[in-house]
Amino acid sequence: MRNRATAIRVLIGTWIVLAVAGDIGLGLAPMPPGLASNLASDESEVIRVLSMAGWPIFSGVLAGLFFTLIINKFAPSQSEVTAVELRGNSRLQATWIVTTVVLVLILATYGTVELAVEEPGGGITTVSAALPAPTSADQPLEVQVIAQQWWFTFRYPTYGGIETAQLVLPVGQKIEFNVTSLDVVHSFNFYALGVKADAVPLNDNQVTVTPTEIGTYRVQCTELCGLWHGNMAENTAMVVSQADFATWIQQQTALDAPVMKYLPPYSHTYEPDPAVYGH
Amino acid sequence: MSDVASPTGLTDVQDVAGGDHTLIVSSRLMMGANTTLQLTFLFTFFYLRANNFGGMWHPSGVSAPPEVLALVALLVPIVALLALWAVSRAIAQGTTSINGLLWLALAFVVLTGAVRILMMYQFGWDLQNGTYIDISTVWYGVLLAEFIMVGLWVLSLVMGHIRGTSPITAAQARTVAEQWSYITVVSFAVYALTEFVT
Amino acid sequence: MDAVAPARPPIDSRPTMARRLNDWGLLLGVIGSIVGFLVGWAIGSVAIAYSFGADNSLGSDPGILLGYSLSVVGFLAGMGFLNYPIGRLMGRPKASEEDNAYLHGEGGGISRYFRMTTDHKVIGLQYLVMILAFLFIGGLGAMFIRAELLTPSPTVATPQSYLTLVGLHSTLMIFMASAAIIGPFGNYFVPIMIGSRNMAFPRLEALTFWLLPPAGLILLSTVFLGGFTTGWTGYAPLSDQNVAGMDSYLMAFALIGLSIGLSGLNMIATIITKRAPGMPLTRMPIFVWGVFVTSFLGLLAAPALIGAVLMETIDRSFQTTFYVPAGGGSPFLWENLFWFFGHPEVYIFMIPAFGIVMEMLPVFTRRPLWGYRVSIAGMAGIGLLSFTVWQHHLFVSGLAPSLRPFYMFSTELISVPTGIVYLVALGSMWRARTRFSTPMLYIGAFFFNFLIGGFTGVFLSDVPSDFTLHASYFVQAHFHYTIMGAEVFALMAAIVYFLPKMTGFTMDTKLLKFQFWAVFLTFNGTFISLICVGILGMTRRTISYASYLQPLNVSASVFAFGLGTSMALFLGILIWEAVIKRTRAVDNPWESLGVEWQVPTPVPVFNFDRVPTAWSLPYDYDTGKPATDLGSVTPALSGA
Repeated sequence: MRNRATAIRVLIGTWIVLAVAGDIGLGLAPMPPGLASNLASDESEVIRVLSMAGWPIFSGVLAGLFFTLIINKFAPSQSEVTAVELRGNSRLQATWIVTTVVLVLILATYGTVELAVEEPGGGITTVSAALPAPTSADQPLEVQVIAQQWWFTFRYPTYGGIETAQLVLPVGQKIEFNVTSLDVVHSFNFYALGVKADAVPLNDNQVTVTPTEIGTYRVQCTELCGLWHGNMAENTAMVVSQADFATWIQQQTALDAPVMKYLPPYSHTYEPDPAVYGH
Repeated sequence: MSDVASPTGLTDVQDVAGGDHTLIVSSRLMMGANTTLQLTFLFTFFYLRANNFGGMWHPSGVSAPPEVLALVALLVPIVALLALWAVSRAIAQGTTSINGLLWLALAFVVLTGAVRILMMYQFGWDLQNGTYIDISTVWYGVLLAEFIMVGLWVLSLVMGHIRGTSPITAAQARTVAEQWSYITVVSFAVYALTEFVT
Repeated sequence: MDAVAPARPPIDSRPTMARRLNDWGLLLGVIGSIVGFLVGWAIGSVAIAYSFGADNSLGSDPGILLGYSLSVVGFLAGMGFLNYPIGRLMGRPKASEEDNAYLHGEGGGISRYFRMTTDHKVIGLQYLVMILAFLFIGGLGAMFIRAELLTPSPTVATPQSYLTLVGLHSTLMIFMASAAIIGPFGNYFVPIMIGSRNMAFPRLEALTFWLLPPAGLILLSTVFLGGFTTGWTGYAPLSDQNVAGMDSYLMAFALIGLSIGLSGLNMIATIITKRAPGMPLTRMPIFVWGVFVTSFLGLLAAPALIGAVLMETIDRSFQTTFYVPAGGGSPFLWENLFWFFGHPEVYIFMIPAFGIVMEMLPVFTRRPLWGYRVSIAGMAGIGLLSFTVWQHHLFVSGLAPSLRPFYMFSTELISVPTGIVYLVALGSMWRARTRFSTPMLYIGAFFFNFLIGGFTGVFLSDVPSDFTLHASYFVQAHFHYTIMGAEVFALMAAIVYFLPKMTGFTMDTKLLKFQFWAVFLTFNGTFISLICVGILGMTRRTISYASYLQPLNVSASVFAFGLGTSMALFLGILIWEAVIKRTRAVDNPWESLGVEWQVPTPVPVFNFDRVPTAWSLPYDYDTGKPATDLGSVTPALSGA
């Protein structure tokens, strides 16, 4: 590859093959976290787009690295190397910088648009009233997630504020999670639905999502919260049909009836017990 | 500006002309770092105030720093500041009899520390009574520590000069005056904040 | 101007009191630390706690924290760091020439390394040993962690010991990484590369080193105080809940923050004010530029850490409520302050690594650095941008959702200046006859690993994908790829490269080349497994995980044991070749044109017999022109 032109041709050819093959694979592969909700589908799509856009760049640089490092035995002698190749070319550098900036701008715009479109999280809110009961699948059903050391509790304000250790959601219904904590910072992660929201004491973190697939899933805590953080994945989570959900709510209401008077009134945040911070 | 004037090659800022530049540059850099520290506390102040979590930013009954003592605590370092700048000017102009000014500066530097300690003692704040008290206490404490650190530097310069073991150079006088001024200005800003923006 | 050092007075061989105390410095320091701890513990437990109404028992936080603080002061006093300040405060005359010369290690000898010495070269070697100690101990912690994670439920560790192990491993590695390149190589070579005889503040530089052993020991002492369960990020209010072991973490981190800040100050002052005449900023080696940019980050970010840690210690000691919500505080305050420091901190890791790799690259490609000026712009760009991205650690916290696009943009923007480094590297290697000496192998691996690290970072910078990947092993793999895959590989390259200069011995053997392949393959095996396990949703810092993740965890652990063995092998080769066998190196084994190779080995105490006045960039491999007019140690180099 003494000839500079041949060198460049081989490099570009290798890169195109790698890029196309990789992109086809990435285009077809299942992407995390799956398709079990509108959020999850969006996140999967974003990951797919980032992979497919990033892979050509990644493989290009990789090809460049390998090529320059390994084909060195074909490198020309000192006299054949041009001044541009030797010391730098401001036009080439400027082109590279401008290209990378443009790519970043495109990426950031894409991410922002996705974020705006999927409206995943309102973030921390201070609205004090609970949502009224939804009259259609488009209106959100409020489900509170109370994190504490070291389990989750779920409360359904529109059904009398019952508390359960099981998270059951009706499929196709827009859900508004209100995540809060009773002591330290936790994080509510419903992987399959693409939901991750930090649970901060005296704060109400909202995430809106619509589950689209029936199934049994895993919820876990993803913010280090003390000794048994690793065990904070015992709550079962299910997405069921509307009918099954109604049945389940009835059962839970009946189960909870004797203890309802002892439960604190439903609120978006709960005052932590100061003793919990002592040592 | 080689440092070979000292055979040991050590850069003792007293020994070497090039040390002046090093001193001035480092002093400015320290002010940069100090600024980040003050900004940390400033951010904390406004963040906790704006959010007022649990209504515990400034529960009723919490008082601002005692006014008379606080004003005294603001004015005393100004005398020291003026004395230090006077020293700096005197040295730059080549005046040699600056001992009086030095003692004046030192006296008011020590007085600054004493007054600020007294003022903090008179706060009478209960640390568990809200975050306004918390951030103000820590901030005043840090300022006190900074006044003491620069004050020790003033002491070492004065002692070296009075004893004749290392006469103060123009650069040293200038930088110590700058540092004292910086902290004095910050103390004004902190007082204004804790007094008026509660 | 006379640039030749005059003949120095012979060292008076009669030891003065000052010198004797200096010799015994380490022992006095240990005694001082014990006395200091006891005094501080007593005062803190009783007096301070009593007057402020806090818990005044012997196990209380004020006692422990004041004990630690005074023990550090006692240690430094014993080492001799307070001699100069106290002498100046009393207006006493300066130390004599002989004492200063002795302090500078002019007498030579191995004892210089075990006491306060103001020679930057001695400090550089001290840092090297300390860095390797942190790396080794932290690495042991990692081996325990991976052993535990072979099974989905607790087996060898308990939750308490596991979390403390995780905290120790990560915090020790953070300490290591923050000074891995600047500590040994910045200290040793920056003054030489700019033509200075010493740092701007030699005593201060010795201090930045001697803060590290106390920091490490204080951190390790957490096991006697119950450990800590917050990991290296120390999130509140979990940090308020923790038992006394948390104080060890807070104190140790404060010391490291102080060391980083002071070292930054010293480096900037040195680079700005102590350059030789004939060395403008635009002719400094690229490594010095890397140190320069990094030092601003260190100087300006460390105070934020110190402020945050200070408020946390007050929270724990006096039950204030900076970070406790019910009392008016906020966990978000800690998160913001910590990450405002934490993000520049990781660029403190990376920028010197970029600098030193770009410094070594031309030596092996036998080409000038392709784009010297643009690489300075790249590093400066990374440094500037690093202060604007910290909220990407808080994307799922619920904070300021409307600000997320801005931080997404700023985080993604950092890939532009980082890409510049790749551009310069590719340009330097393009059609070059690269010599694949051992350091070059590590450098090649650096670029490969950082490419993966950077690519994984893109997924984390984008908010929707971050929802899936935040706090999973994907993040963990990302920062291990960038910190370990890049910085630690750069560290290994630099050790192999600079060892002949720093010690006169070489560790470059066939076994080392084998070690390179072992560490490279096991490293990638480990962290590709962890990328996969993170994509599947495994959370960080958990002792238990879902059983379907076990095969990947076993794969990661097996590769990790291999990785640990390879790293231990590196250390073993280093010790065997450089300490035990003492294999002599040739003078300039890599045939570099840098000024550091033009001075003799061992480097004279004041670096130069004659400070050069004619400087050029040390990358003229096409003409063979060395960096200065000192003349080559090896015969004239021709273009490759």
